[in-house]
Amino acid sequence: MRADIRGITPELIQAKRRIGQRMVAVYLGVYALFVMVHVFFPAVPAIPCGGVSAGLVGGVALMLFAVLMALTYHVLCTRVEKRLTRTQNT
Amino acid sequence: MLYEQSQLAVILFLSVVAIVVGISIQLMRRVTTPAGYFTAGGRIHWGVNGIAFVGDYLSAASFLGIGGMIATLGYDGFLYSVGFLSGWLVALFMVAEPLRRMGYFTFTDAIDSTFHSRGLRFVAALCTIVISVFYLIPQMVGIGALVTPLFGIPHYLGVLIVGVVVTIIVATSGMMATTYVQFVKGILVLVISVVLTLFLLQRGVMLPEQMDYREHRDLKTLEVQRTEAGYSIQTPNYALAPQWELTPAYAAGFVPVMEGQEVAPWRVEEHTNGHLLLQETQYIERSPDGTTLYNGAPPGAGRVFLVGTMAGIVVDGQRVDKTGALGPLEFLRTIYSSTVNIWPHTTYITPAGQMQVFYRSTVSGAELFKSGGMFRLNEKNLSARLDFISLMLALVCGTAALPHILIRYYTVPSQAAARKSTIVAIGGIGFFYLLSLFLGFGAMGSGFLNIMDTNMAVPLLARSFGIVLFAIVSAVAFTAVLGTVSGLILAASGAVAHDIMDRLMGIQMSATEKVVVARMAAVVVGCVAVYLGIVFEGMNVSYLAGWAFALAAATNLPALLMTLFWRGATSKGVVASMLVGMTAALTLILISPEMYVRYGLLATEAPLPLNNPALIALPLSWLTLVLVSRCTPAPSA
Repeated sequence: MRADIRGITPELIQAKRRIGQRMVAVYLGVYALFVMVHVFFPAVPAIPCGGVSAGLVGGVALMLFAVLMALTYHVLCTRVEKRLTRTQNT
Repeated sequence: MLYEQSQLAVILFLSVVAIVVGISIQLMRRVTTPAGYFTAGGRIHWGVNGIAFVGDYLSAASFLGIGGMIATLGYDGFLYSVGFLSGWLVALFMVAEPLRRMGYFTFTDAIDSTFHSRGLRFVAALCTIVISVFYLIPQMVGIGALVTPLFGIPHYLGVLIVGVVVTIIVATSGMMATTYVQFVKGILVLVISVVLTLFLLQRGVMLPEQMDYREHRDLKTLEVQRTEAGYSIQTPNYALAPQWELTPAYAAGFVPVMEGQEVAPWRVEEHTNGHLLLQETQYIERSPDGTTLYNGAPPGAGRVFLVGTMAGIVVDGQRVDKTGALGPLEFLRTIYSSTVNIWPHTTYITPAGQMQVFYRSTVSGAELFKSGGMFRLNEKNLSARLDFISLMLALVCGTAALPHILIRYYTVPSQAAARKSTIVAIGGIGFFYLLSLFLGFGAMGSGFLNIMDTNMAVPLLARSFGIVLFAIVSAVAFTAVLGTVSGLILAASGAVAHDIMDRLMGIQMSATEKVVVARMAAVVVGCVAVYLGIVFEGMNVSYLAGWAFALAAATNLPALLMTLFWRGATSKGVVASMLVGMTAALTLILISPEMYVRYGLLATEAPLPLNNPALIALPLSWLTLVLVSRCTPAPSA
């Protein structure tokens, strides 16, 4: 079914696209760092940390970071939508 | 006995089936248009859709596979879940809203909305079918692994029964029933995971002798002495196989021992001064004629015994026999500071076929909180590193490219709804993966681990708390598969009926006829899924899903992203990239070390030491798209 696209302007599309691209770059950067530490410094995730391993702490932190980024994205997009969406009446 | 057939489990299981099929048939009357069949009319609330995403996504691979991997490998299983969750962010930031803006019903609609090319429609639809079928394999394997012990029936029959049930559901009411099933499933999976985790933390960790909920059985050992006449076993009924020192078993670290007429491999625990201490193992024998034996007998014979025990428990520096109730962090710390009995495996070839032998080994808990169970990153081995990077790339890129996830974006009314439902999904899925960390480590020491079928780790953990919980978890695992399989069959049937027959071939059909065709396509795909579920019995489902993710990522992601964001993309470029991505990924999978083991050969004989194809197939697909697009005319405005 066609989406409800009332009030969606090219400006709004561009703005949200930019937000998305920046956020994906940040997250993938952190993810890539996590992966590369495991590949090139395998001793680091094994370091004891808080009664478990640094790798486990890092992995859980990365997952929580993912949820945080998702919520941040929503806040930023909602803000931009309020600012740029034209309603049918204006 | 390995599994008791529980009447309660069977009743609950059948009730779930009856309810779901009943709802589907009721809804069938409401579904008369293609829009209704494929997208439930596009009016699903974002909250419902978000939970349905959870139900769609947390398939056998997550609910059964991750727990199973963590239970046997520790940390490396957890890395899978980090990768799986991360893929959702790529979907959220790059795909969710643009896709919703562009589409009608399917992924092919979105790709072709710019190009209007028949060739592209065909290729995109074909790729949807292949990816969906490929991802169906781990689901059907998972359901076979679950249903078989529950009903005491052979794997193929379990797969067949479930295949029929799911096909009925999808063929009757398509996306409507699928959404409800996935929504309910999402809630059930989250709730049951919380309940199981709470039970686990309440019980704490204990040594096997303390487990009053199961029969304890020590592993058998044998002593081999060297006398003037040669080596011999003193225990009656046991004898060394002839020329045992020259066998492939001995070269691999095992001694073939005869008990009556049967020969079994025993692990060499000690070997000093003409004295050997041997320990019992568990083993899978795969013969060239296709038969598979577990501990020397067919699967139903009940020779497999459950393992999963702690060797020694240390809390705050003190050795204890049991811990009592623990908090979440205390639980993980206890496992970390204790010693655990794990069961690694070795594979070797004999004249009779391939032997995969599982032997007990005691390790410190800390070993299970770092990489090494599956990814040999410590050894600074190049192929191990590349394989790991390849897998993590596949997982992070795969979610945004899975057809059955993408079609769910068309069920909500707007882009904002698409965004919000994705965020609900990320929260739910992230929460589930955190819980599965506990379920996996809990299964490790629960005494109810089937080392030769890791997919059963979570249901068996539930079994350690009693038959009722086992029955409930089995029913939930069944709905877990049901939800995802419905989504996959729907995606594939959409590709056949809508993308190929309607839009590509231009076959004139009334709305009713289109729905009928879609239903028939669903039946055909269901049959193929059943066949594949039988062929791939025994393989860990998360592992299989890793392949499906790589296939989706290499085939769909460059095409999708470049179509959405690059004006220079041409239809020929997109077609070429999808074909190259798919061919490369499939070929690399078929020649991978893991598939070689499946063929009954040795992993070392594989031409390329790469198990996951993403690292090669994804960049190749991307490059193809860019190069071919540059060389072909741009689409007319």
